[in-house]
Amino acid sequence: MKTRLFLFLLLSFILVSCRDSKLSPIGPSNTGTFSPSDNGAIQDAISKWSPYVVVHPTGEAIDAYRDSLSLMMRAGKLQGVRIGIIKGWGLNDSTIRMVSSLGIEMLGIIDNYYLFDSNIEQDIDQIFAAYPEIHYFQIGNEITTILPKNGPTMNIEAYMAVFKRIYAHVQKNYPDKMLVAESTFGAGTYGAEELETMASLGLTGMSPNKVIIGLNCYTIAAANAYTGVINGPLRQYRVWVTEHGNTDPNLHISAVQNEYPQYRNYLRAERIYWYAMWTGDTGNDTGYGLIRNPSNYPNYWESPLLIALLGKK
Amino acid sequence: MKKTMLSLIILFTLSGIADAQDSPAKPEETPSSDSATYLKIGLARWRGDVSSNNVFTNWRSGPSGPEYKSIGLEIETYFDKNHLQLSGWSLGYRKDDIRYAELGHMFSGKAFRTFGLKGLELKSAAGIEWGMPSLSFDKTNFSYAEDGTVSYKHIYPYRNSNIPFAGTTKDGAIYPFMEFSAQRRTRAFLVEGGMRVNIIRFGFDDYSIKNDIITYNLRDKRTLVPYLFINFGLKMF
Repeated sequence: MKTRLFLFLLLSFILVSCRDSKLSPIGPSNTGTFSPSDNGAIQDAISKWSPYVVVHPTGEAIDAYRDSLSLMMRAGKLQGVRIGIIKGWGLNDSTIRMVSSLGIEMLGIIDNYYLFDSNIEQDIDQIFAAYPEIHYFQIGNEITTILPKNGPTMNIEAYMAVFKRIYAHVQKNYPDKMLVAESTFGAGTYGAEELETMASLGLTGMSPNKVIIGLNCYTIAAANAYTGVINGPLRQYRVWVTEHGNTDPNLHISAVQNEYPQYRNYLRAERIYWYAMWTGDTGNDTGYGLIRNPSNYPNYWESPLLIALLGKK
Repeated sequence: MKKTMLSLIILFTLSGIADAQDSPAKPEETPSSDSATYLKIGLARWRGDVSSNNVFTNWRSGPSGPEYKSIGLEIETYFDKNHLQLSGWSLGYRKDDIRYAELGHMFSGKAFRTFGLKGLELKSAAGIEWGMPSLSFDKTNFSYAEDGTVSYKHIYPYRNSNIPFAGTTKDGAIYPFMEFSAQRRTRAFLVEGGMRVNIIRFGFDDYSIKNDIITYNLRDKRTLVPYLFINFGLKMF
């Protein structure tokens, strides 16, 4: 009798548990070919794409960048890029100029190292003068986590002091420009804790019409932690996820298909920037890239996600 | 929904058969007067839309509608007789959204009263649930107008409590709940089916952005969130 009871319980569990028709994550094969059964999921992923990518301003990739970004625009899959304005590289960056020439909207990241300057207001004046076409400027990125320990580092209290100076300067002199706060670290709860500290250190005193919240988010744990802040002290502010991606090109498509909707739902993310267009041909970050071997232009490698976005399959 | 109800009917029927076969010559037990402690496992299921006024009736939201499941573990103690009108208490753990280990960990305590009814017990309970909620109810619906206006409605359970030793200061939620169920207890087993109604404070936030000017309407509202559940218990002592 107990056996029958167990079987009935098991049957009941199955009856109420197996109605979820969600697709399992799928990924195209390494060769960039797709099985017919993948087609629906790929189209689903493309429909969930957010037309924004991170571009590292690396001159050696400029031809491949121009080609791939143009193709993405033509396919209707690109509206904006997030690109660094690197201290020491000058204010006439060829990659930024190229992106500008394509008419792509830019979110310019003012490099972390600028933030150590005593006269940051002057730096802002020079950057804004050099790139008048940029409307959105992000003040730093992962400031407390990305800087090497053997160089200058900055805690969040020091960052917020600089950010408040920049905010005041921009409101006074460039009221048409929008600022995006530094993007916090995208794994675990550290980023959310830092964002909460930023809120308490003055972020909530800034106008939601002038400041957008930037988040890097790579994990569900990070997204979960962020919700307590963006639905709490930063409830009035817009949210952009400025980095999300996957190190395995075979999972790029499923990352868009499954995780982009989650971040829109959980974080009310207006935008999600894919990290990144090119992340080098060697090293730990290589897999994030939508292209590789840009020096082989026009025969550079394209990720399965990029191939799908361009409608080449 | 139909399958859930069918499952409950099967379970109650089976429970009766098991009881009859296990003790064919004995008179019907009166478990409400028995002091006992059960270890219960259960499955709960939500299917609906908290933004709707009829959360109790819109279970048939279609195959693509929202559907969330949780599994639970509970220790439930019955007094030998009622105390302060109560028949017992329980402590429980519920894992909401079984896809993710990082979230959806809820702990609860409740007190209950049972009423005998022809071999069954009707049970009403009230309690408090606390923990790190899942993201199952965090939803945002975007819409894009031709003039460039982006509008969205964001709905989410409010975080009003701190989970110690980790995360932000408001990363948890605490809220009351009520339960209504029917159950059958035998000498060793307990089978129960019913409805849990969590009373959760939700945020219903509307945003509209045009030319980087944001307008918003932020509202909080306590919302009834019904779950159907089935539990199976084993008498410990």
